[in-house]
Amino acid sequence: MPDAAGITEPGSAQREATGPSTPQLSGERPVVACQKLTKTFKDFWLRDRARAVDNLDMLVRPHEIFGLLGPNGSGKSTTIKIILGLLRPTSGRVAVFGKPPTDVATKKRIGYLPEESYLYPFLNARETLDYYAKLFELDRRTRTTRIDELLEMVGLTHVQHRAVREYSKGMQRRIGLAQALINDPDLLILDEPTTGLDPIGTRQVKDLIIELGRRGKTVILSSHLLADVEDVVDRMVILYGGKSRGEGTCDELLNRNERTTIELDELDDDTVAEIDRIVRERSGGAKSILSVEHPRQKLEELFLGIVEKARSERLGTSGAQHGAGTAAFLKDGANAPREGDELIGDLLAAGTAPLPAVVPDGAKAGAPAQPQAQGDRPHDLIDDLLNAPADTQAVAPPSSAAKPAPGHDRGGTGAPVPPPPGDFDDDVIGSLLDGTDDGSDEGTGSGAGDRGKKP
Amino acid sequence: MSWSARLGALDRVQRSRGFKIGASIAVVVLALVVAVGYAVYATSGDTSLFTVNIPADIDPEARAAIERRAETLERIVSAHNSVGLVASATAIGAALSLVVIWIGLALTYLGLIVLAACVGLVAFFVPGLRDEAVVALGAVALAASFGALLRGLGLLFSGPGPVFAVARTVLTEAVRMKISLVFIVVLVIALALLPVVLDGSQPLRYRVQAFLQYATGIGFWTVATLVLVFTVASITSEQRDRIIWQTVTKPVAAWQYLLGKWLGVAGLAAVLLAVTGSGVFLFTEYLRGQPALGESAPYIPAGSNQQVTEDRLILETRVLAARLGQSPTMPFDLNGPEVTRAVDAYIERERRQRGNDWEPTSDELINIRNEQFNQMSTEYRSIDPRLEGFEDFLFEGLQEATKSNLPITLRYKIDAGGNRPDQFYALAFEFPDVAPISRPEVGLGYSHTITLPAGVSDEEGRVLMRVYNGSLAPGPNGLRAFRSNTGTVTIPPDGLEISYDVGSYRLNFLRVMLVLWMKLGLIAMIAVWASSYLSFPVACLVSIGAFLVAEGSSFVRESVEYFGNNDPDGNFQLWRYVANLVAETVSSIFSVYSDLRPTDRIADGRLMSWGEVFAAAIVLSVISLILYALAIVFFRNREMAIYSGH
Repeated sequence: MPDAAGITEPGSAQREATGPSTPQLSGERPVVACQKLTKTFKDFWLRDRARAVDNLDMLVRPHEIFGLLGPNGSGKSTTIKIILGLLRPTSGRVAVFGKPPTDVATKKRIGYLPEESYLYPFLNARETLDYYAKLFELDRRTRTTRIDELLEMVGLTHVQHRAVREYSKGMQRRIGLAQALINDPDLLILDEPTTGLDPIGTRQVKDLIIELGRRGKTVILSSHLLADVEDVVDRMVILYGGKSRGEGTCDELLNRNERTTIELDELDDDTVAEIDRIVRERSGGAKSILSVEHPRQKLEELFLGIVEKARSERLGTSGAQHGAGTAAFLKDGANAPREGDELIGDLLAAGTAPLPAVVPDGAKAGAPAQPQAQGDRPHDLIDDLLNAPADTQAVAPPSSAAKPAPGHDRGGTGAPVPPPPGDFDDDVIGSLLDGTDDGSDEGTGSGAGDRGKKP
Repeated sequence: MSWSARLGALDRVQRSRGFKIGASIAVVVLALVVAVGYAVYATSGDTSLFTVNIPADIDPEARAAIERRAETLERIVSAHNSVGLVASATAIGAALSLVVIWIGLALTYLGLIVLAACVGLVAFFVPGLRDEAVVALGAVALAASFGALLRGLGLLFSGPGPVFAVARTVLTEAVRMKISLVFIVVLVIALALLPVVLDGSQPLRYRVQAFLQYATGIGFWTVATLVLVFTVASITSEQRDRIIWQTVTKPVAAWQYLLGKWLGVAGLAAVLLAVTGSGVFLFTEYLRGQPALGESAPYIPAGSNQQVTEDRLILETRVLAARLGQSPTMPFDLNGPEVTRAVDAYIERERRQRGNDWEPTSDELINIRNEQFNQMSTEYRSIDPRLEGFEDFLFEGLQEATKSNLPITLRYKIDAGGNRPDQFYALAFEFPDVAPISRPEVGLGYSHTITLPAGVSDEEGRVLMRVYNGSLAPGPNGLRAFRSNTGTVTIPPDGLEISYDVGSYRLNFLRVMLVLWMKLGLIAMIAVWASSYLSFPVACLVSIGAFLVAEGSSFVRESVEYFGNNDPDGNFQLWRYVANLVAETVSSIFSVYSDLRPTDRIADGRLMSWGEVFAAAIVLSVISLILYALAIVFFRNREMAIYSGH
């Protein structure tokens, strides 16, 4: 049934075209719906000059973090401006919360951070936030509380009385982010939110987006910084030349199912050669180890570590201070993470001891670690590896049950394939494993080396 | 820390609640100390001011008289030094101080008081710098008033909601951005300097009139220019710099945004006008208290045989007054029988030339009637010395003047020949029961005035006046000898007027300021409308152009009458027709605006009645609303992400 903007949701045929992992419609109206959206810019003589958006179909569903990717000039910002009513579409339809983009009441639920911080230069940070808060008709007490929390969150409390024109670009982006959140929006539209921010600020923005997503907010994130988008979005669309060139979840778009990566402690060359031999033997020569390299720590992790160390040593800075956690009014108590006695009580009631948390392979830096599921315990897999008969053990495909549900697990690869038993040198296998489920390193023979602790 | 940061820190301190509470307590305690302290002093001990030493050997009756006199003097002086009076003054001072504290200007005013005290000290010790000290003190006082009023307006706009939020941001922008600050400083300095440049040797009435004219005019034009440029800059710069994106993507309707902009600018204009008006009014009152020409002291003529000097009389009755004027009643009207006869005669003459079947069209008939009426009016107002040499004029509707029993003013102007500046004509004016008034040398082409006694109007509010084109002198046997001028004099349509005082100058001044503010409100709306769809330079041009057209529309209307559709050879010219049409249309739209002339009225002591104020409010509001509606339509249809085609 068409909504107020005359847009009907795509039928099931269209949903199937985007892949099996496309979230099933639960009857909720999409937050943003674009149908054959086109925007052509004309010159003074009304001649067509540039087609910035070309026949774009796009749906942003409630409670998801949606990424708008593309190179410069691909139509990302133009699409966002049409959604916000800053531009009118040449053809096609747009609906935001089921209403046209120009509907004033709908804007109470929207927060927007443009690609540059367009702020009143003569106002200071507090006055800026107060002005925007008044536009939402917030009462004085609410305004004061939220402004204090937001300034603390973005780390600008100590410079709140300085005029915005004196701020660095990063500081202006922070205050821009704060104004986008002043109304605790249901839909947050961020256009290049990490521009001008240092890695810590970037990390904080990403954490904030994840937090907001966890709270059930809908976020549209536009960026050409792929790493930033990859870390946080549930679904994304990739634009080029104003057209959609790809759409889906991160896993659908990024997973390379034709390859397998196994991360181990450091191995010597002989062990690697042995594994390669096994792989060749099992695949009949069709497969082999393609590359062996040491994984690299992300530069972001290194940077954050250095800064954290400096902070702990209480070194001073005259720039933006790195803010406190998410502002209290943006957090939702019902969905707040469980802690302490409550967590232990729940787990004891379930009859299992708490498992050490692991960061799945390929997980995003800073993403919260996921507790291990029973089926994923390395102990069980290795048992299978060791004990399964060689002639009856089929090469099981990666278990679909182990695949994380889209939108909730931002990492992880498939389970390792259990090898046939009896064909392997236990010493070699033993040298790969610590052999226990409590993380202690017993070692089984030569070549074990120093494996360190499991993450 | 930079000076601006220090000042900002001080501003935050004086706005903080803790400071306000502490300062309020201090003021209240100080006021109580002063009041109670004085009360204790006044009521304890021997506070008599007059100690009389009476010799012991004086006559008892004389002693008693001296003691009674001392007692009387004591009572008189103590009445002025009463505890109640001091307490009231202290309370008023404390109340004003509390107001200043709670609007967040305590430290600012303290600084200004210190500055004023320093300036006063300089003036006290260096007499040669007295004028400069007066200018500086005036500027300080104006700045203090401006600060207080602006802060009060900011408090008024401090509520939630888009309209007030935008309005308050406009006020903040006006103070913190250089463009408006320049205008404000220029205005403050210009007003403070103006009194100093007045020529002290001129009669007091001319100085007061000149000050009223220039101060009000400079104030209005400065504020009007600021309103135009600032409004356009504020709205267009937000669109150009994309700041507006973060406003229009909030729940702010176009009408709210534009109304907020207008409200902020109109409020700023009101503050500036209030400061200007206060300064003008107070200095006018100061000038009024100076000795007029022929006075040894204010209101005290130098000569013993005068009750009041001419300069003082004109100042009080014509300049610092609220006068209503009345032109003479024409003995015929446009559609009356006299004009109809003239029209018929004209048509008859034309038929003799063009043929008997010639019939004028309705437009031609209207033109013929207007021409005949104008011709008859001119003949009526022309006094030919070869004929009777005089003409009678009747003024009606002067009942209020009769009731008030105050002197009335006759203003007259005559044209003759080419109005050569070296030529003078003699005129005489005769009224019933009043001795004729002769003026032997009347300059041509400009107005002159005569003060007439109250009894010149009859009980029905009519004045019958006979104007002689020549001089009247007493002759034998009680008759008068008339000596006529050589040429005809013509009184122009606005050349005769009787005016009389009908109200308070002070209230009239307030009404004039109200009208000026309404005009500024319309100017602000013109700027808002232009900025809603044009870029900064084009919007400035359009706004300033519209403002100049509005100000000059009465001149344009008068000029259009003489411009005509035909060239000097009588050939119809299309471009003249189009120019006339455009000029008439535009000038008629702004006719109410331009006919108000508040500055001229206050300088001439003319009444600006409440009726005219309300009529102006209605008309200007309607025009403003039309422009506002158009601005909303343009603004809503704009694509905010595109500015000037980019």
